[in-house]
Amino acid sequence: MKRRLVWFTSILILVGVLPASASQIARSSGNISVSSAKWALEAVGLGSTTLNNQSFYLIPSNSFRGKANTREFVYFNLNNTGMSTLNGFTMEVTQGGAVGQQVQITFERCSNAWDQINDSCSGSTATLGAPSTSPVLNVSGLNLPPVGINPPTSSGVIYLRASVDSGKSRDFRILIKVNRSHIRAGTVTHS
Amino acid sequence: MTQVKLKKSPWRAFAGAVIMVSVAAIAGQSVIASLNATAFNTTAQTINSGTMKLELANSGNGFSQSITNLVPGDVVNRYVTLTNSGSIDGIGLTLKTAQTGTASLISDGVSPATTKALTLTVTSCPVAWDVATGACSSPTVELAATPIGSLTSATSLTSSTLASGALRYLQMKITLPDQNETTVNGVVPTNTVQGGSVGVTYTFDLAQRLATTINS
Repeated sequence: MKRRLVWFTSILILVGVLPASASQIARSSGNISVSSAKWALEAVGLGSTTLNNQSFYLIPSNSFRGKANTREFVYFNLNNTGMSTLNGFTMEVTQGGAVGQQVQITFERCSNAWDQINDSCSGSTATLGAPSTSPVLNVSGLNLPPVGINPPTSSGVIYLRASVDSGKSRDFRILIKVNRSHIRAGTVTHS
Repeated sequence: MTQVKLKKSPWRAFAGAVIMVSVAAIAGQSVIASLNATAFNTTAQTINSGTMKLELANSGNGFSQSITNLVPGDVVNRYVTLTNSGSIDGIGLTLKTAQTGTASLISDGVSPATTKALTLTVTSCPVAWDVATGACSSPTVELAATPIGSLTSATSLTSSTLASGALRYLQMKITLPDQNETTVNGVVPTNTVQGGSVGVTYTFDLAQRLATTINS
């Protein structure tokens, strides 16, 4: 015990007499904020459902009820709710009903908002695609800017309508996917 | 002839003793006293301590303007200049970062997440950078590409000394590594790098040169 006390005291004395090592440091700091973009396309005007933990936009079969041999339409919009201009997207369509009894669904785009009363387009129309047995629709060649919020811009909206032949309606589930390749390539900037 | 014999007075002995003591005292004092000589500098010696000062200035936008809307594969180069404006040469130049915000932009994802965070690369140029083109004839990589979340401790730069009055022209390259993510029905995946924001503070430290002993 005595020995320990001696050692402890010796170390304390040694530490006390050792010169402190002090040095000067110059410091300078700067701040910057960095944010990343989001890429997204959301449907407006459709219902939604969840199946096997995956969410779908839903076009229910009763939307297609109509007269025989008359095409009925479901109108909806796709809004670019991201921050980057989209050059395309993928739409995966699945439908209910027995295998071999799939019906054709057709998606058409209007350059302006659709006239839903007269089922007409005041601008130009284009068929996005008509997926049936291979229900993946790849849309490319877009130049769709973000719709924005203040104020939202119509140039960031795709005006769509879906149609099937009357009397052959099914429930349709839609996945709209946007991946990295659907936005601009990376760039190098200096400033 | 008549001889008169005078009797010695006892006071004579006393007086003699007093005289003897007085002489001894005077003689003694003269032994204790001495001559003193003093030398001193007529002009005071001036001793100054040095100063350590490191300044960070933007070159072009530098850190003054936020970096927004990065997509994977984007590279943003910003330019800053460090100046040792103190009087002491500096050694051990280091950089560290502190960041707050979206975790996936700060550190790489841990499996099963595969996200890749922002990286920082620091390159110096012996002369001022062309901030419009990023041109430099003989650049030096001071810090290889590193996720910004891995720079929270002071990290030495390749050129670690900075003499008094010297400048270091730096290119601070921020990269969002290329990676793929799919947004389904407008919903981004978990641990996404999309729509994130990070505030980054860069701190440069420069230590004083080693202390020396000079004889002159």
